[in-house]
Amino acid sequence: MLRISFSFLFIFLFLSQTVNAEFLYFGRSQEGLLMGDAYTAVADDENTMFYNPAALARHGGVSLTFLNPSFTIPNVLKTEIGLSKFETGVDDRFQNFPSAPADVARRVIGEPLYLQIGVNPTIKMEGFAFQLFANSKTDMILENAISPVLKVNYRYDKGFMLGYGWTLGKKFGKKSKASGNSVSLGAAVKSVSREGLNGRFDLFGTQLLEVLSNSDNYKALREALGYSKGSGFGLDLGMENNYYLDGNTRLGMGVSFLDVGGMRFKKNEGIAEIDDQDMSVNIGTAWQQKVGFLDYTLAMDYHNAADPVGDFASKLHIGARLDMPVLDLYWGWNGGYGSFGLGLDAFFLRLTVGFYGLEIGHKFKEKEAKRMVVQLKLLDIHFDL
Amino acid sequence: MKKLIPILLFLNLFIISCGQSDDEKIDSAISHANQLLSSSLCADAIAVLDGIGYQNLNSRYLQTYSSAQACLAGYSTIDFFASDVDKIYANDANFIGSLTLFTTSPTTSLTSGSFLNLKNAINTLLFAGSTTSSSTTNRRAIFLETEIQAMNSQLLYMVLVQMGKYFEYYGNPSAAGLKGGGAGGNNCLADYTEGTAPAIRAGLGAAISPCVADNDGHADLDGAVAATTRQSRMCEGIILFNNFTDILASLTFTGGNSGDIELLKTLSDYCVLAGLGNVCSVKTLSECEDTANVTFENAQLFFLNMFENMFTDAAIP
Repeated sequence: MLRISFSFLFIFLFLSQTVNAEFLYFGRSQEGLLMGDAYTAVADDENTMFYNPAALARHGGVSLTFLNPSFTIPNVLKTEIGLSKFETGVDDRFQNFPSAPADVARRVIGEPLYLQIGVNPTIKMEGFAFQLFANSKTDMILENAISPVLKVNYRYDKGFMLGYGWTLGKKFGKKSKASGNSVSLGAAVKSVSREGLNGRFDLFGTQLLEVLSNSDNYKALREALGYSKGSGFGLDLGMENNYYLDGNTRLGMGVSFLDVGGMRFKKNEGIAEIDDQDMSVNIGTAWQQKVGFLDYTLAMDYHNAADPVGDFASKLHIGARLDMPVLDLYWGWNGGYGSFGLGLDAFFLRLTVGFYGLEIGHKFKEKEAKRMVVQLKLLDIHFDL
Repeated sequence: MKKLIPILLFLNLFIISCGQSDDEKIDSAISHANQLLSSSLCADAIAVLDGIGYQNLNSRYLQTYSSAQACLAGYSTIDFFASDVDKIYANDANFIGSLTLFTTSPTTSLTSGSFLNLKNAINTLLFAGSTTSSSTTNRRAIFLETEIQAMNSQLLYMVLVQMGKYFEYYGNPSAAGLKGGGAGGNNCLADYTEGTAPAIRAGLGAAISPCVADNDGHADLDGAVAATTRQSRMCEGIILFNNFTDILASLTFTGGNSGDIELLKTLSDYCVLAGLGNVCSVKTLSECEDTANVTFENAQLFFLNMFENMFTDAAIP
């Protein structure tokens, strides 16, 4: 029956709507990103509902994450690793930065500039989860060396999500030492307020010059650039199949449908239309095993399966995690680009730091965006019931 | 579990759409082409845009396509603003001479890839929307005003650069942009031997210095060359200039980097004052070459009153 179910998945793998370049989700786990974003069948932190609500069924006890600010910026470092050397420093692109406008344009053209700041306090109780989120992303790039075009995509999403995951039949897992297979389903609903602007401006055209010279203040400027605000509701669905071996080993497969049917926003302010949130279909598999005081996870994802034009290899994500008492290590392959990082635990604090790359081109390994991520979790508490 | 199958079937039907819409395909191609042009991958960008069919009513597509063609010509707006825009001399005494000072102006042939590719890039926007007669008015009938402003801004810089190449080729300028000061030997752009042209040339006198003889033009505009061929070659320059003034009139500039472009809007008035008729407004090569519309004599008079007058041996500050 599961074979039939998953076979239907592949019917629409080549249909449905599309995205090009980077797909913008509402939220991503920093840990997941450092694992190549192969997190659909893992999703065991506070960001579960951003990946697969069915994974909530695996959660036991109560988990509270009160404050978890995260920041993502372009990776300005250059690292050379060889057999006999390890060098790191500031990338040449960011050294001796010119001041003349034309030279600045030549230096930054084609280089993505990205800033993400987010926080999502979460409470999970067994299979139920409630999460508030606020996430600001600014994506800018100057393209076309002949007639430069400045693309700006700024969005600030805030809202809440409510989700539940349940297991069909007997539930296996850490508490149960028995082996067996379990299927879980999950659903989450979200209410989101989105504000932002998404525009393309000719760098040497008259429109940008006019906007800059006619705008007296920040609000007038952003309105002239196409800022708008709206709200909407979304639905996420997920399914997961887990095979447990003696409580220490799990082989999981999951599929999630995020923002089923796409999410439309009703405009409350501004003139320009608000970007819809496209649906994404993500498939993942994970192997998790506890060996003594170590946990390790190997995972593989395929997303966004709903994109009919992206290259297969760009949608493939592979990740690994080594979970030790104080230190976690992450490694991944994110559609052609590497990621790595570490997490440090100290009482109720957790610091996650790492680097990852992702595809922002239109073909496999066409254009990489290199990013650096930092997250600090404050008061990250879990207790079993 | 049997209940799951219809649920999943329903989900599949629910989420199946019809693939990428045409607008999404076009947007994707434009985005991809712009990305390729960031690395000056000109041919690749054109291939991507050709792949979705020529979108004659999509201003963004046309601007990107024009960029890709200009890329083949080695043109860049960044380079123009970095190196050349400040060289423009907004004075009718030697405005054209200042254009020959652009780093892109040295031209050995007007059939070179550089000249022809930039010509194609210009024509892509001049004839946007499949207009057969170039003018901002005609394009306004098809596109929104914001689209016109964007296309005309992009056109303006390319037309200036192309004029620089054209007049550098015919004007034999010195390194300082002074007509006749180069190694080519001619002191005039063309020969002026037909109709009233010699009298007008003589009447203009020192105002068109150093053009002081009727038959001192570039070899390609020499009296020995067939009149139709000469008219065609002169029309290349005439339509460039007329499109330049037409585009300029449609734009408003602010900011220091715009140089003296805003001050050049009055140049076209000289042609009208000279009473030269259709040649003052013709902006399409075929219309200019049509002797029923523009006589060969008027083409020469345009060259004398406009180009020779604005391209002299007067020093450019």
